[in-house]
Amino acid sequence: MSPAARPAGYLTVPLPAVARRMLGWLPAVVLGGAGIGGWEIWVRAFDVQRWLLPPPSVIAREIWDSRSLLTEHAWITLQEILIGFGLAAAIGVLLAMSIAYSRTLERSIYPFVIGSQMIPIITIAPLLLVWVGPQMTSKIIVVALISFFPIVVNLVDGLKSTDTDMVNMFRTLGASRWQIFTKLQMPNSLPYLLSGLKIAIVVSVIGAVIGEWVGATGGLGWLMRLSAPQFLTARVFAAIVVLAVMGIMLFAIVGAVERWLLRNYSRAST
Amino acid sequence: MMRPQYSGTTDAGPQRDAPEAVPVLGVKAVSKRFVSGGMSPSSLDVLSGIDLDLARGEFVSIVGPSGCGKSTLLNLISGLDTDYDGEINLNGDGAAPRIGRVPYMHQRDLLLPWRTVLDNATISLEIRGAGKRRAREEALVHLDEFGLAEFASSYPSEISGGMRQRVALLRATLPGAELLLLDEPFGALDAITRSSMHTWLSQLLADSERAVLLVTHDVEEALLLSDRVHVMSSRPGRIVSTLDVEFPRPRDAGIVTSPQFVELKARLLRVLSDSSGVAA
Ligand SMILES: Nc1ncnc2c1ncn2[C@@H]1O[C@H](COP(=O)(O)OP(=O)(O)OP(=O)(O)O)[C@@H](O)[C@H]1O
Ligand SMILES: [Mg+2]
Repeated sequence: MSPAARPAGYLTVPLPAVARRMLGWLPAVVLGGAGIGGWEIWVRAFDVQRWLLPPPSVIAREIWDSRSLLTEHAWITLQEILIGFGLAAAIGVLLAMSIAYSRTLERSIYPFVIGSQMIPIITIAPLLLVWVGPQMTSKIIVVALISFFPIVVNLVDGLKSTDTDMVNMFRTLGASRWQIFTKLQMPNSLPYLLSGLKIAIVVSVIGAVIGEWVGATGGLGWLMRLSAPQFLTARVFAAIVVLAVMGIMLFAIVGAVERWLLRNYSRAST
Repeated sequence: MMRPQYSGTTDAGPQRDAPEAVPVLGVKAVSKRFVSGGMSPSSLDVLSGIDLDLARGEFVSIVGPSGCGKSTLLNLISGLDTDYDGEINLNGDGAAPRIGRVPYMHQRDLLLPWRTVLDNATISLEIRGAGKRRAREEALVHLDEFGLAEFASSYPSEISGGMRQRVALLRATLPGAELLLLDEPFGALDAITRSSMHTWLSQLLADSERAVLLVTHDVEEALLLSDRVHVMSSRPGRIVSTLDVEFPRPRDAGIVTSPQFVELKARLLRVLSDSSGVAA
């Protein structure tokens, strides 16, 4: 039902849809504003050293002053995230389909998928540097390594969660195993896949930063690593802010894709 | 006309008239026992010596108390479950696998929420290898008689329960087969919608060659639609009584108040309460 079709109450002032949606963010804006304001006041009132904790105003200034530096390194990090995430999505979907389709494959693949998550990224990342060099490739591998897991687990669950009655209905219509898989299990698992992708995009950001932290030639993680020992604390915070904004935007994009793809997935039918 | 031009492998067509003696469906002495293994193996006798015949174009109903094995019987006939004693013949053939050859409509509509009404109906043709476009053209022809013409591009969540059941029926019948199994197809609908569905289905099947086996709790539904009603006992399910319903088909919903109908209904209810041991 579109919001316009809903009957308005007596006292409801009809607001344009955009305004209403923005109003929904009001609590977040108020809370964020209060936090930032409190921080600013705290730092100034107690005269905290700038290199220890810079106030938000100084961080904002730093973001503006080093905008070209931040953009340059943000772009590197974004590339690592996108390529690693894309790789993870492709591999994750293939693995999940194999696992859900064949019991033999499930038994042979799944333990290794889970085992891959027991590898401490902190120890494998420096090795990757030695193996493939300090350029982007090693970060892409780290990103893919930690973000493919939520995709596989969610999608396997989705592919296996098909209603037995639905499967039987397909069987009585003469469907083959493969037809049941492609025409029923796969579309049915789409909401699960998208949940997996939302988690994956967030851990991708973390993966890229960890990868860069260990050793890189650029990127926001590398910038933080470089700035911290020089007591350029404002720059560290500036990089964190840029990274956070980037992560939230990526998450929002996956969320928008999800809403669009699932617009007809209402579960109202029996 | 219910039988579409596009036809599955089992559709003999009206021109190849089978000899009168071979029923579309022949169920002989069918028994079913569920055995559960595990720590303490146990078994449950669900069906015991079921005999049943359906000739071409016949509409037969089974009524019986809940849990007597009606759905189990349909699962056996449809080939979903192949583990049973006795004989089930489709056009006289008991050896060939039946799965995929007998359309079976469930109490739940089981529509795919991500597909439109039209595409939900065409899935049965797609499964048989028809191209999407071809399948749509095929289904569009029938949308009108199923009262779905305006809703072709609606999604299941946007249409009523009665309409959803009609989509499910269209899906089941599109490939064309001589036998149709209905398991309480209208059980989830309200009384008014159910009654209009009865009238509609009765019209739809009026000059059809298709044999229909309906399972229901609703005595009136059984009498209104069928040529013959079998009463099943509570578990293990046996056919304890059979009633012929002589009114010509298609029947108008108005006949339910006629004295003959009322008398028949009373008789059926009596048999049913005797067989299930519960006072009606
Ligand atoms: N897979 C199974 N394993 C064990 N027992 C089963 C199984 N399926 C059904 N049963 C049992 O068999 C009996 C008959 O079940 P069935 O679903 O055929 O009944 P029904 O006549 O269709 O009932 P209703 O009218 O409520 O739909 C029930 O007691 C049920 O618990
Ligand atoms: Mg049942």
